[in-house]
Amino acid sequence: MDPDAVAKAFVEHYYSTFDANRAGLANLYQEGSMLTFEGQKIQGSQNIVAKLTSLPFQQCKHNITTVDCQPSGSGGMLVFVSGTLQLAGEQHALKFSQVIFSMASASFPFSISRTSMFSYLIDLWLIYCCRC
Amino acid sequence: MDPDAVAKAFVEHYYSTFDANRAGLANLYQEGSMLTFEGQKIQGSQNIVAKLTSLPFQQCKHNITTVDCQPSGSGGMLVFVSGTLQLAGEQHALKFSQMFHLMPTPQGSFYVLNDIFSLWLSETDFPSMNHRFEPGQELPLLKPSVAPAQCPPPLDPNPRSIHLVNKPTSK
Repeated sequence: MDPDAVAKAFVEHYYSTFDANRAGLANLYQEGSMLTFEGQKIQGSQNIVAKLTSLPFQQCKHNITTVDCQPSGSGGMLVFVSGTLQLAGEQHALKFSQVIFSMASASFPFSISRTSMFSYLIDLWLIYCCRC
Repeated sequence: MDPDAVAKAFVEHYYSTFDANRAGLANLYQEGSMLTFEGQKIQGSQNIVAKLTSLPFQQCKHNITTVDCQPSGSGGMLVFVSGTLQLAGEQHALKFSQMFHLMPTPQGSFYVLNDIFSLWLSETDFPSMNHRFEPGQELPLLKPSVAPAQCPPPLDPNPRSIHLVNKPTSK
């Protein structure tokens, strides 16, 4: 499958899950996953999801402007995303950039595309950085 | 050595080399290195340096705002940088984000395996995902689209919380 298409499908899945139900991101992370969120370092799926679900807003909407991807290492994929994050009730959207490094792993089947039945198995390392 | 210190040292070396002598970046890339520059994909040290040295400006200065890093397994390191790029003669600095995936060399240093560079342009000026530009290329609207007084306050440098205006939300 075309890596750019995989990256795009993954990004759409990730942010629609984030916007609809942040707890649903839990199966995209594993024990060894790392998140750096605005400088704060967090490790492990449970801690990462705890951080994301505790962010001080109820509703949000990510609008993605750019998606770039590159293969890296044995089966790994780097995805670089930029866009805006609109929080409910806030007048101005926040701009953000996010880097996701995903690795194929054997233990979490994850279907990223309903039409293609492709299973891409993921370990996520995120560096999520909001900048005005 | 502390990974954050390694990342910081690499970033300082990379951008000071870029600003002084772009051709000197050649030994930071190898044959399998990949650069995505504003959407354009380039592979191999020679092609990457050819791209960077052909960018349409003579002098530039990178000012780095943030550097984040994480180990990526097998000794590799992910480095995420944001900052501004000031081109000589231009009134406004360009904002950029750049991601490096560094891999160790046998000599004990690092080379760049993956490099993704992205300019921050106002999404209201360029809403389409297909608009990618090069620093130095003439932009039709090189001005901030939001007056500085209206810009939302920067996020709390203390990363434990995001400062939002505390308003009661009605449900």
